Amino acid sequence: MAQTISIHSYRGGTGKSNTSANLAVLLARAGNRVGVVDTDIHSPGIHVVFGRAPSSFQRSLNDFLWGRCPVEEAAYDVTTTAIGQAAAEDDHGPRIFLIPSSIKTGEIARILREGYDVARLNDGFRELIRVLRLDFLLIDTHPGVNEETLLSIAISDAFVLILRPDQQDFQGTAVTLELARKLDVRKILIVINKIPPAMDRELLRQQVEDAYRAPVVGMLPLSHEMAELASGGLFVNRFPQHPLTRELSNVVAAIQDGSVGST
Amino acid sequence: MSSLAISLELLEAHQGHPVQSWEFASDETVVIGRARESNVVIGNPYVSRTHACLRVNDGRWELSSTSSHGVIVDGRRRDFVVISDGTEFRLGGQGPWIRIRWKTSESDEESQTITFDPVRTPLLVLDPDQLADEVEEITEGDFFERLTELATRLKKSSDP
Ligand SMILES: Nc1ncnc2c1ncn2[C@@H]1O[C@H](COP(=O)(O)OP(=O)(O)OP(=O)(O)O)[C@@H](O)[C@H]1O
Ligand SMILES: [Mg+2]
Repeated sequence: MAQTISIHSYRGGTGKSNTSANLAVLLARAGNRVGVVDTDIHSPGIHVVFGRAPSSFQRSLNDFLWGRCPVEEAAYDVTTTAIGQAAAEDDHGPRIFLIPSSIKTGEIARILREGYDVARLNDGFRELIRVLRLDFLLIDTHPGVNEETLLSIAISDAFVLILRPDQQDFQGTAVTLELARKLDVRKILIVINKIPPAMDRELLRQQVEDAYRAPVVGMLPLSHEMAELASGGLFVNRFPQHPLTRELSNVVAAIQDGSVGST
Repeated sequence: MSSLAISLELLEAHQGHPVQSWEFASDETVVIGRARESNVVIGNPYVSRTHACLRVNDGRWELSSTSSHGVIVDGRRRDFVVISDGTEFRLGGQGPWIRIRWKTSESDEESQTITFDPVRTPLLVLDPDQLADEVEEITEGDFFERLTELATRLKKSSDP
């Protein structure tokens, strides 16, 4: 059965898009067929991490939401750039599909004005899973609490909540977490990103786990390499031995592990 | 601290937030590099073992590159440059950014850099009352009830 996973943070700029894209790569490298949907319609961005120019997409998620095309027409196979030619040429090999959001201001304005039909979005997810035969569907979300995001979270099998080790993030994230619990999300995984090098990591983990009563499955260091990359590439490919990559692998393990947080 | 004391800030990106900082007095020679013996050790593959050197000469701080990759200041590759308060430079074309700050003794500078504290001990505390209030504010109306119903319906229809 395919797993739908939404990746979210209370605040913007926390690392959702980079985390989503890199998790997709690691999941695909483990042999899976993975879809990544950019539901951050207000400020799309994940296509950049996959090294794709917006002009290379004829269709976007917006087209599907407005009924202009079936959802799979907005799905772009990025396997070659993401995990290499060899995998892409193997018919039975893993795949990564990207479903981008439109960066056209007119399209964004329309969403802001009219919102979108979440039931239709849900149908789109199911269609993607079916038509593209996905094992995992990752949903990169808009930060903060709004109706569409809450619904995306509610219909997901797992919820990856990212925060920075910062007091304001901490309180705000707790609210989102409680809402996810009320929406009956079973599998909640916490990821802490941008941890300063000098910070006591174990203490940090304890504080977060004690307060949130949810497992911290990844502790990603603040990294120059990541900052330098400036979302212009896939970190796990460039820096396969980096501690940040190792931490992302732990997140993948937790996602694949059926038992985490399922009580 | 003498009036020529400086702090070096390692930035997360160009003009970004500091992720680490060091302070030096004017009588020190500051070696920046990847080597452990450096005064400022930066474990970044783009940084040379000894990459650059800062010292006071004639009452001013001078930065000289000791690396074949040089330092980049204002978009130009330099081997030598005189530093002023707020100067940012990059260690080679690919390396990290560093910003220099004057440390004026009782400075108002302090309050500006207050957003940067090299925290070692995280101190994250949850205010449970505020949390309960905020959650209630969102969940009490029929907005959240409708949302829950819709979610339940969508989840059911997704089940095979
Ligand atoms: N561990 C890290 N260390 C340093 N920089 C990071 C780290 N993680 C992410 N960044 C940087 O932070 C910025 C924001 O990351 P990203 O776009 O993934 O966040 P986001 O949560 O998707 O943001 P938005 O809310 O705007 O969609 C990027 O420039 C990225 O390179
Ligand atoms: Mg994003």
